[in-house]
Order: sequence, then C-alpha cells, then structure tokens
Amino acid sequence: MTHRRTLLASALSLALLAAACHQDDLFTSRPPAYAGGAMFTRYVSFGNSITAGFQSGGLNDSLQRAAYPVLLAQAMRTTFYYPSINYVPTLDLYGCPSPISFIFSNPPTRLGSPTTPLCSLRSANIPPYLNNVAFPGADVLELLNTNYAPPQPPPSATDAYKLFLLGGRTELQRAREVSPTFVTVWIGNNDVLSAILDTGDAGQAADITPPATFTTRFDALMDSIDSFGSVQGGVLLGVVQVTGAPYVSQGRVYFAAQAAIPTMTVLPNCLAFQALSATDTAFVYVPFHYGAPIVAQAAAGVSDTLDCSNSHVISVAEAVNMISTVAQYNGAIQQAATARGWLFLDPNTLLRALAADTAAIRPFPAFPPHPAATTAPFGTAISRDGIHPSTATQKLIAQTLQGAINAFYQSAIPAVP
Amino acid sequence: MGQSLRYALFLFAAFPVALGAQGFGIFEQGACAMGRAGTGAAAPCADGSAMFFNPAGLAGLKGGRATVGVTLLDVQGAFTDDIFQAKTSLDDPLIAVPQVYISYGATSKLGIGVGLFAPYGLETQWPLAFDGRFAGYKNILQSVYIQPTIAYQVTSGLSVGGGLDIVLGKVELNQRLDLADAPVPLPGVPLGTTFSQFGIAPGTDFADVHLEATKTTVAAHFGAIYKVTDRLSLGANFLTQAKFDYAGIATFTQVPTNLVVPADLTVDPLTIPAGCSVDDLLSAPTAACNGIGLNVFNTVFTTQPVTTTIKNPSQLTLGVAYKIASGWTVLGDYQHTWWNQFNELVIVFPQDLSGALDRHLYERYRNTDGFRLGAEWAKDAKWTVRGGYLYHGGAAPAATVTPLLPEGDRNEFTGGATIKLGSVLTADLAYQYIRQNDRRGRTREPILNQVPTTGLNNGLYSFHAHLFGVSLGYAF
Repeated sequence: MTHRRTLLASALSLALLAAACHQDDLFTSRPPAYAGGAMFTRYVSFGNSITAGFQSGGLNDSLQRAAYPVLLAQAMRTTFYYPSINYVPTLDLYGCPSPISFIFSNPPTRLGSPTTPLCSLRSANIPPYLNNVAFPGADVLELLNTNYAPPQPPPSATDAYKLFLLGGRTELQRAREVSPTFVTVWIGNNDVLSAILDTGDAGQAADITPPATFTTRFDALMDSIDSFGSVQGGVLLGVVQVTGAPYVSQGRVYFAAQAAIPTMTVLPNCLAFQALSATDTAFVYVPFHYGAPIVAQAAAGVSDTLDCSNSHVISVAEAVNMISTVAQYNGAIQQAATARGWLFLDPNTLLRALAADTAAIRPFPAFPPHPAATTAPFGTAISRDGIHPSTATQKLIAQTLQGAINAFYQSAIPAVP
Repeated sequence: MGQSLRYALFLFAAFPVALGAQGFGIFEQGACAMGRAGTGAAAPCADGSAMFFNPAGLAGLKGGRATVGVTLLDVQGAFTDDIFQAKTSLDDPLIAVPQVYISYGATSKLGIGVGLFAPYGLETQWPLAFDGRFAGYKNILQSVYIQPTIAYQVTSGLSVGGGLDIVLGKVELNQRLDLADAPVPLPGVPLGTTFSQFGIAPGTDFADVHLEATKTTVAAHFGAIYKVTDRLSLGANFLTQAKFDYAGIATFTQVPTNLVVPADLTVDPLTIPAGCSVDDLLSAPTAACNGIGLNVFNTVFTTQPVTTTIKNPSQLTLGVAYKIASGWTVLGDYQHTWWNQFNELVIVFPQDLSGALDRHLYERYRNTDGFRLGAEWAKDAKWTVRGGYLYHGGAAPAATVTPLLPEGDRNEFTGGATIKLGSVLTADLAYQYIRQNDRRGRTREPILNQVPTTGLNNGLYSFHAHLFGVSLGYAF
C-alpha cells in the first residue's frame, strides 16, 4: 500500500512539474542580437519636423521612411513604427502636404496635380503604437504639456499634426505607451526657428523662447522621460544654429550677387557683421521669403533694392541674440545629458562640415535659370524648403548617430543600411 | 442607414466568443464527485449528483436525499503582451456555482429526482485599461439546468435513467468601442475610411456597449450503468445539446475621448474648426463644431434589440469503476464534447433592416477529449477520502484565443472527503487546482467579418484556478 501511494505521489508530482513549466518560447519579442542590443529593444525618437522626416515643405511615407530615426532603427534591428502618411502617386496622393517640387513660383509648386488633395490621409495600416513620436512644428513646450493644455505657442497650421500624427496626445504620452528602452531627443529648433520664418519682423526676440524658459521646460521634459522608468540610455541632440540654414543668406552674399543682376541694388548695410569668436561671425541675414521676390523682380528687369535695415532682414544684433540663445540651449541640453550619463551630440559640427561644400549647402539659392533651381535650390544637403535636411543628410545623421552611440555605449549597432 | 452601413464592420467583433468555452464547461457539479476528478459515470456519488453525472445512478435508491452545494471558483488569469511584456491580470470575482439535488427511491427499482446545476458558464472580467476591452471586459454566461429525472433498474446489473432539462440561459457582454476603428461617415470621405486615418490613435475609447440576452430552452440527459460484477461497473452518460435562440437588448453609452481638433480640418466640403471637441463631433451638431455633428448616438448606436443563436454542446461520458479490497475504489472516465457545434456565430440586429450591423464570427472550435482518474477510500462509516487527476484539451483553435475565453489544455488535481455528521446529515468538501498551459492569443478581433488567423495573436495568456466545493446532504 505504501509503495502504491508513493508511486501515485510521484506521478502526481511529475505531472505538476510538467504543467508548471512556463512556456517562455511562446513569446515572440526578442532583443536585437548584437553587443549591447538589449538597450535598443524599444527605441523612441522625440523631435520635430526633422525627426518626423519632413522635407521640401511636405511629409509622406516616402520621406518618413528616409528619416534618420527610421534608418537608425533599421540598423538597430529593432521594431520601429511611424505614423505613415499615404504616398501613392498612382492615386494622386502625395502627402500632407505634398512636397514642394519648385520653390521659386508663387505659391511654390507642389507634387501632384491641381486635383491632388491638400492632405492625403494616414495609411490604413495603422501601427499598434508609435516609435517615432515627432511631429512638425513641435517645440519643447508642446512635448511637455498634457494634451496641449495652455500655455501654448501661437496657433499654427502645423498644429494639425498633433491630431493627425499623434492622435491628439503628446509625444510624451505616445512614448510612454511604448516603455522605451532607448530614446533620442532632438527638440528646440522650433524655439528659435520662428525668428527666421517671421514674415513681419524677422529675427525679433519675441519669436524666440528665452534660454531660461527653455532650460526649465527641457529639464521638465527630461524628468518626464525619466519617470517612464524604462529608459536605459539615450542621445540628446543639440539645437541647430538656424542662421546656418540656407533659407537665410548672409547679406554680403546678396551684395556680391548684385554684380550679376544689374537691376538689383544691395545697400552697403548688408555687409554688416560682428566677429563672435575666432571661427564664428554673425552677419546680417536675408530670409528667402524676403530676398527671393527682390531677386525675381530684378531678374525680370524691374529695378529693386535690398535695404538690410528693413525689419524683414535679420540684423547683426538679432543674429547675435539667436546664436547666443542656441548656444545657451545647447548648454542646457548637454548638461541634461551629462547628468544622466547620456550621449550629447551637437549637430552643428556635422552641418558646419557640410557647409564647407557650397554645393551641399548653398550660401545663395540657385535661382532660375540655374540648373539646380529645381533639383537642389539650397544645396544637395538641404531639401527644397531651405530648412529641412535632404534624404542624403538624413542618412548622414543616422550614420553619425550610429557611430556615436556605439562609441559612447560600447554597443555594436550594425551599419546604417 | 448610411451611417449604419459604415459602422457595421467593426461592431461586436468578438461578442459570441465568450461562449466557446471548453475550459468553462463546468463539470464540478457536486463536492463528492469533484474530489475524485469528476469521475462517476459508472458509479455516481450517493448525494444525488448522479442526476448530472449519470441519471441511471438514481435507480435502486433507498429513501430520499436532499443535497445543497456550491462550488467556488477562484480564477486567476493574465495576458502578457509580446512587445512590452506587460502583464494584465483578470479581475474576476469569486464565482459561485450552485447545485441542488432532491432524489427519492419510489420503489426498490425506480428512482426519481429533480436537480439544479450549471454545467456551462463563465465569467471573465478585465481591467478597463486592458487592450482586450474592445473584445469584452466583462463577459458572463450562465446556463442553469433544472432536470426532472427518472431511473429504473432493468435487471440486477443494468440501470437506465434520463431527464428532461429546462435550461435557463443568460448572456452578458460589456465592451468598449475604439474610435480608431470606426468609419468616418462624412461626405467626401471615401467609404471605409476610419478615424485612425485622421490620426486617432488605436485604443481611443468612445463608446461603451452593454449586451444582455436571456432564453429558456430544453435539453435531455440519458445514462446507463451496467454492473459486470460486484466490483466492476461500466457507465455511459449523454447530455444533449442545448440551443439558445437568444433575444436581448444592446445599449450604448458615449465615453469621452477628451480630444480636441487642434487646427482647422478641411474635409471637403466641410471645415471642422480648431477647438471643436471630438466628442461634440460625434454627437448632435453644435456651433462649436461649425454646425457639424455625426450624431452617431442618436442614429447608429441607439438602444436596440439583438439576437443570436448559441449552442451548449452535447457531451458523452464513458466510465469504469472498480472496487478494490479494503474500501478502495478506483474510477476512470472518458469525456467527449462536441465543440465543433460552435463553428460560426451570427449576431443580428433586427431593427437594422440593412443588415449592416450584423456580425458573422468564425470560431471553428474543435471537439475535445477529457480523461479523468479518481480514487476513493472509505476509511470507516464516518470518513471517506478521495483524490483524482484529469486532463483535457482546449476547444479553441490557435486563432480563437481571446480575452473572452483564453482557454487551452488543462491538467487538474483534486482531493476531497465525505464526513458523516449524524444519522441523516452528511457533508462533502473538495478542492481542485486547475493549471492551464500558457497559450498564445490575441486582444483584438478582426474587423470586416474576417476569419481570424494566428497572425492576430499578440501575447500570451496564462490561467489557473482554485476551486472549493462544499455540500450538505440530508437523508429522509
């Protein structure tokens, strides 16, 4: 009897043990299989239009898939979803909005036909969550606020992206859904960019987020990311010195150009500058939206004059303020990275290198009839809006990030495809 | 009607799956039988539960007996998603399944009785934050069988029995609707365009749905026991299918999204102004939304009748019992349940004459087999102890494991005892542990009446349960 009971007990124990085996192999998610790959299991990119993939004043799937975080995620071998916008030329769908194909017309010519919808819808294949939570027009405040509660920057057409890309939730809210293990944060460009896009008074301080305010907001953003509790590492990218964008040209370049356009007069006040350091100088800057019509009118044989004391032109003092502000932004961002043991990457190093090649970043737009007026009016590194990186530069950013991350975190992310 | 058509494709994507439960076929219909893993087709317990386990067991009774019992189900389950490895646990309450049996030996050969038991039922409750809320966050199925029973001892070795079951059925489903999946019923928007294509994120609740229906139907129960020798018995038991033609009511309640249109949104020929609340947009037209309002809660999602047909499947049990010396009895049962009767389910909204709200769901359940082993030892006139083990397969195919019924293969272990409290009073206690194999499943249902595939599976369901049975018998 005792023997029989022992057998029964043994059989039951074995059955219990067999039943208790947890079937881990039933899960499908696996961390990337290379050195340090676990950190990149769930990668989220915060940012604005550059991170979203915006080019030539437009956004669509073709451009989104060329964005640096998408390329970086491919290299990381990690699943990465972005809010895809239909790009189906055969159905007359080119994006939201359709990208600019020719900047020198008024208004700029965009891809498609007159019947092309202003905004093609999101792809019907909706991802379960988003890894690229960036949206065009985002500044640091808009990442931070819950459901875009006040205070907010002035209303903008790009506000539509808050709903269209993020479903009315903030970047932080969408990111939190993902429990990211790794993040890149590239935000702050729009806190200063409005100053060069302002068609009323370019360069004015009112368009710029004060550095102290920026620092407070950025620190709050980082505290929020910390509160996820899942992030193991990240990269904080610095703010671009927007005076280096080819959307604005130095006054001295316009001054030199008048030699080739006899009907255009450029006053000597456009030669003003101020040395900031051994390598940096602040100039007078002429925004494209102000300078291009003058050039076009003069090229058509109608005399016109560029006076750099005009409020549409960014003065040296305003430029100094913008450059100084960005430097202070980047100081705060770098400090936040250092405090967390994260990587800080200053994109201006890369952009300065590109600017050394005047075919990559043109100091003066390639106005018609220049052969590059259609293909790369601001240079091969910049898309047709004069502000956003081209596909080639997006890839360069991804490659730079891949190298810098591997060096900083001793990881082995494969090369960007 | 047009709006109805547009909304038809995503409603109630999962409603009837709640009923496809092999694992929730409740076999614990008496503490005595529960203690020996539900075996008893060849030798039912003497507490009257033979009415469920084999009606032939009532033949040859002496005197009368009334038994009242309850089985308490402490269900523990969870879903762990593939991507985030986030675990969501069931919120099930302690579920009580009652049994009442009254039996009487009218003659030395004729036994009669009436029983009340619930051999099919389930309750799954998930937190509202769970992604599976769009399939169903609170799902209840109840089937109460009231069975007048008669049994007769045909020969000294053969007894037969049968009963007519009056079955009271009730089904309840509560689910959320996801705005991301909802069609946009605006002019100028291509048919089939969903709110997700305007950016609404998946998981944006905008309506709560409550479905409730009842139906009474009939079924039948037959059994036979053949005593080969004084020690060896064989038994067979068959419970017929119970078909419910349910008729009930569907009610809808708006759930605030708290989303606001952030910039003027032009959907030719309309312009939805910045500041318009998405909740207002779904409601009757308002000035804040430039006079635009989809009014879906007065046109589509109105309280309305709903019907469907569900079948509790038939089941066959074959058993053997052998009395060993020294008060020991060993028992073995084999059970086959015809779950293939649960293949496709059609939900009909009769008021919607277009038929657009109707749903066709493909469950494709498969028949299941269960194997039960039990042993019982009558220690003395007062104490009898017992134990058992059972295994059965899952009915749901790999493509139909959902929040409503995340079931699968199970191993179960039982133990129990009968205590004679006096000359007329007897108490039974039993415990059962259910360990279900982890199983991949999904949280969302396919839209567009599509056949589900394993491609929708997005995580792992785990499940186990503790069952406690207690009953009190009175002899008269």
